[in-house]
Amino acid sequence: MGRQPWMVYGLLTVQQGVSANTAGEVLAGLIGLWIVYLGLIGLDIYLLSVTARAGVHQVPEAQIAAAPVPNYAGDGFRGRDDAP
Amino acid sequence: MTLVSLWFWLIALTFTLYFFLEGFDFGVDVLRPLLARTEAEERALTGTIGPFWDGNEVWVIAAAGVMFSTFPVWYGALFSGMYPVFVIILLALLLRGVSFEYRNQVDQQRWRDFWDWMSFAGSVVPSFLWGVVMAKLIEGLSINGERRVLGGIGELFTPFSVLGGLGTLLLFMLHGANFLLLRLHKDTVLYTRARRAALVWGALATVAILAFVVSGYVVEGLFANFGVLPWVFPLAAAATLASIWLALVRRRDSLAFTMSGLTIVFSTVTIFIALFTRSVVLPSTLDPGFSLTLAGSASQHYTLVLMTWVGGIFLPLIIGYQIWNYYVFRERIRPDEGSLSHGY
Repeated sequence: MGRQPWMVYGLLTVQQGVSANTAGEVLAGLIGLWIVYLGLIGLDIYLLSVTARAGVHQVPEAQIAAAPVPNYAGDGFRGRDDAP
Repeated sequence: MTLVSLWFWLIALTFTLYFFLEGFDFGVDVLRPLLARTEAEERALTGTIGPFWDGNEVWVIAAAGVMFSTFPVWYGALFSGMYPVFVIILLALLLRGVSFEYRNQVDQQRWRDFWDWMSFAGSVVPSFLWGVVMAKLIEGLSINGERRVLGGIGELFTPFSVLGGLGTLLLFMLHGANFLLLRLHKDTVLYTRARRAALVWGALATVAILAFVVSGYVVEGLFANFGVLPWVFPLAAAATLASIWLALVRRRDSLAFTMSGLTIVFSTVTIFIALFTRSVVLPSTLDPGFSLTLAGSASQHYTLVLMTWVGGIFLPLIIGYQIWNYYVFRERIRPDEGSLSHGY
């Protein structure tokens, strides 16, 4: 199974299934994805290590400000008098 | 209506919803550097779309998925034919999505500036390129007899498709400004700035859309096969676009947003009608005989039946939870201490 020249065995050959995109186009796309993903992996590791180094009980300052907790004390929300 | 037509119009529906919804969150991100002067204002603007943007993005995934399963030949020709454009859209959406999450993780101005820039570029680029894609959809690609698309990136940027790109970019900015009028407290300076932006960018959007339609009609002859009924849609788009100005001047914000939304809806429907009336989903620029037809690029009947079951269950479900999401986060926003200590 899966041997050349079949893409779907007995139904579709690789020749029939391939697009007319040039190798350069595909390579450029691949390099772009590699750069972005490698960059994001690097940043992720950096952010994880900052958080881990701070310890369990200490959340880094910037992340407290970043925690996406909406302010429910706005006009439309009742019953939360203790909210900041 | 046959299943083929049904699924053609469901694809049109997913693209229309995508442009309507993601249109305003792209618009807000594009306008943010122009409207916000302080950190609190930046966060307030991000907060207006914070709960919604990724839900809106679901619709482009739905559009591509539905296209892949019900019109594989159309999907294949469009996505590999415009491969460079779709890779750039993908990378832009990737970096923009991450910018929401990473922006406030490190307390440094340079870090924040970098992600603000990613958010801006990640919204400008797809806003422009989706217009290019829609324009090329009716203009056609160089499809050969084997239903493969020849020609590279140079072919994708014609005067017509660049006008289409400018049209969507400016229309999304107008739509985003109108959305801000609904989401910001009226007593804030941001609200005033958003109103001014809607008037300025709305005027430019009108010029670009007009130029796009005129070039499509006169130069490309794209609407030649239109009967009487299809003309309702481009004319309705023109009418709604013109009425936005009236609504803004009279301070009818909801009306202005509804009208910019309807402009997007009618414009997208116009594009799909231009395809439907010719029974062609993607014209060939090499030989009209090589064009991809509606029936010729659809899946087998059995696949369409299966997809009708799947779509019949999940499409209402997605629409339902999104409406609920908008209802939960219906409160207006103001830049204040709260937005600084609470993130969004």
